[in-house]
Amino acid sequence: MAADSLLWRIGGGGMLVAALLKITVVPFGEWTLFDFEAGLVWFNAMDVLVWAFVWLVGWGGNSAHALVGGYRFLALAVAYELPLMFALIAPAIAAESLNVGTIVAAQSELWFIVWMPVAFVIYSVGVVAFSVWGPFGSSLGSDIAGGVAAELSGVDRLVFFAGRYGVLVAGAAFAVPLFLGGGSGAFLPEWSWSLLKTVLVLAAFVWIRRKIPLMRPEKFMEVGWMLLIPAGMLQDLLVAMVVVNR
Amino acid sequence: MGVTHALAKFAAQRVHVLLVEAPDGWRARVEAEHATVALGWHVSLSPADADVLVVCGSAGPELAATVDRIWEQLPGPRVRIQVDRAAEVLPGLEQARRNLSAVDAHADDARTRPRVASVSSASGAHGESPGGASMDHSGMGHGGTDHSQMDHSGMDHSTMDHSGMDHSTMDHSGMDHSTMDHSGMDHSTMDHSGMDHSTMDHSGMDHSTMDHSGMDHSTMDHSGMDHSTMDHSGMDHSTMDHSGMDHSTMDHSGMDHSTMDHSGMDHSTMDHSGMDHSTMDHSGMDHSTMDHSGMDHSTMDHSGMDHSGMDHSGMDHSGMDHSGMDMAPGGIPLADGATDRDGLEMDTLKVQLGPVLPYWPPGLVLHCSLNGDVITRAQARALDDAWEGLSAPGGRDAAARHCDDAAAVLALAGASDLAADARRLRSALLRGDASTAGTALERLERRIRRSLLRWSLGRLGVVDDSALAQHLGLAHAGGVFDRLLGMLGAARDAINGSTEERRDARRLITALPQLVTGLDLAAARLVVASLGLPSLAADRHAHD
Repeated sequence: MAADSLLWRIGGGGMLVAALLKITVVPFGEWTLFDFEAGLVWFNAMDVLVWAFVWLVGWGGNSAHALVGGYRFLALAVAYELPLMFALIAPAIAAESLNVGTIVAAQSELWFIVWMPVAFVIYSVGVVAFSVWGPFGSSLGSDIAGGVAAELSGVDRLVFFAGRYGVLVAGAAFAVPLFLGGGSGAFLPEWSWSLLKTVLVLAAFVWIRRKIPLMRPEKFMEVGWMLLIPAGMLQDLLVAMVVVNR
Repeated sequence: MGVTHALAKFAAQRVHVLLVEAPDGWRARVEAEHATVALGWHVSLSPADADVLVVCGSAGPELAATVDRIWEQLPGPRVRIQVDRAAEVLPGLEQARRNLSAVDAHADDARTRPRVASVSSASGAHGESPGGASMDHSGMGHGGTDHSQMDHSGMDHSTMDHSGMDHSTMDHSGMDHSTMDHSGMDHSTMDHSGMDHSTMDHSGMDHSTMDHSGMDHSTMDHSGMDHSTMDHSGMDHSTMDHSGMDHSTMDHSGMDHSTMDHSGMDHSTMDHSGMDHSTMDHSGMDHSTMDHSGMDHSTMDHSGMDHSGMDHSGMDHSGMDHSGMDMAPGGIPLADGATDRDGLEMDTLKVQLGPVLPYWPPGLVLHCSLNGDVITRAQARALDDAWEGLSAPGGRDAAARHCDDAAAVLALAGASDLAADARRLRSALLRGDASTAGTALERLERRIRRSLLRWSLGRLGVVDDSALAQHLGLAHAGGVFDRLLGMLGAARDAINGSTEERRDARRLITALPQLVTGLDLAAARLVVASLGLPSLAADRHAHD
């Protein structure tokens, strides 16, 4: 009946680590910290880690409210993660590569957002969801006294929320090479275009935070499985047909 | 001024405030919310996140006890203030900010505060439960437990340390140990030193002046004896001397002690030191229906006993009935299993909602049994009977109160912008700015109708039974969304001066369990908020 401090701290600190590891595969101009062959899979693996970390923070604190927050996150995760994976597949099919640099190069003529807007929207929903952000913040909800974060104070709280903002920023940064042509743009150097686009996507995420009411897990479950998964699969099918006939 | 002081002063610029509202503290709480936002501070959701605890209104004894436990859960540096009326809020918060920067006082507080916060489910925050050493079992009641047919076979209790236990005032009367078999247990190297059995009640036995010293009972054979219906009541065995007895290789198998009566025996000042009970065989004894009530074992000396080589194997403790015992390590009840709404076996967790919880009616407590996050049983209670006889106070603040109710529903539904609008509207109404309030109210209503809330709240909390709705005095028999719009309608009516229908707080609270049972916590919170209970609370400082 005692708090599981070890798992609790692993979860709290893990969010920031996952965010930093996500950033490593994002190219800024000619620099990529970790130019991994399967960078896309790496990113996806990191956001599945977030499942574990949020759950561990909810579980480890030995508080009923935090535990309920953990339940809610897992329920939401089941509804957002599969559509997110289908959305990630679309640029990979079009570029015929899992390498993030190759995906950027494939957009030299046309940004992927233009002909795969559905995948971009689903991807954005996924980022907002794994960041426990805005409409997907029910596991940090006021109705359960802050939920997963109910027992966090001091440095634990600082690190957990820094990690939460971190994964949101990483998600916004990764949208740029995936859908927005990476560093391509006029006049300015490539790295600055990457940063500028990241800030714009991030601003949209921040703006939406207070505009849309909370998605209760059972409500979003409908959306995820009945709408987003079929839409994502259709998008992938369309992309695949274009690539085959090219 | 050192770095520490500079940092403390810097950190105190953005204070996190935990608001606790007493049933008469509505006006003060609203003002504290307003001031917190105006100062650029932050309203926190749980004690762990808070720097300042603000108690709004006068807490009754029950709420005050909860507030004390919440206070223990605040991490330092921490400051606690009490505000009874709106005018005290701003000076109180300023004072709190100054006190937060007083580094030395907080260092002292950190040194002197209890290491482990007392466990409470009041706001979901649990301290860590203390360890097992130095357990205090005093006051335990084991009366009436049934240990018949227990099986303890093969247990190894060697190297157990029970030192420092306090068993005083335990009551074992009425226990049934019939058909127990303790053969084969290993109690060697157990340490029972420091145990306190004082005030155990075996009073009435008297074994005085018996002399059993030097007896050799080895190789005695008591098998097959029938002691049933013996009556030892009123015997005096005090000052018996059993030292040096050798009971090794005694065979008591097959004895029948059923229905013996040992009540009223006195074993005080007996000396059993140096006894050798090794290799005794008690298998097959029948102690059922023995009566040991009223025995006095005080000042017995068991030092130097040799229990090594006892055979307790083959004990049967199966079928023990410990129900009715209070199994609550650290005060937290263990989870029981129960079947959830999908027919799955789930742990049942007892959780208390309120009285300190964001957007929760003041002084209200809901005792819930949770399967996962679904409420399977609920019981509502008003602390300190604060809600007795309360109904809508009407008057000047009525419109603002309805807007505050709406803000709570909106905040719980996660519509942060709309909730902020409702709070601004509340402030305008409290200022008496009725003309701007009218247009702002219409605008808010329009935005709510257009928002995704209609979809996200859905058919949540629909009171299908129109008779129940009427009984509750709800303006709308519909769901949470309809009642949210109803709150704004009631606010408009109050602005226009028309009298509203009277709602009875006690009736609403009585109906709460029925309304929330079967809902998950998020839905239950929305349903409770949609009843608009806070607007019913009387506010003795409203009109000063």
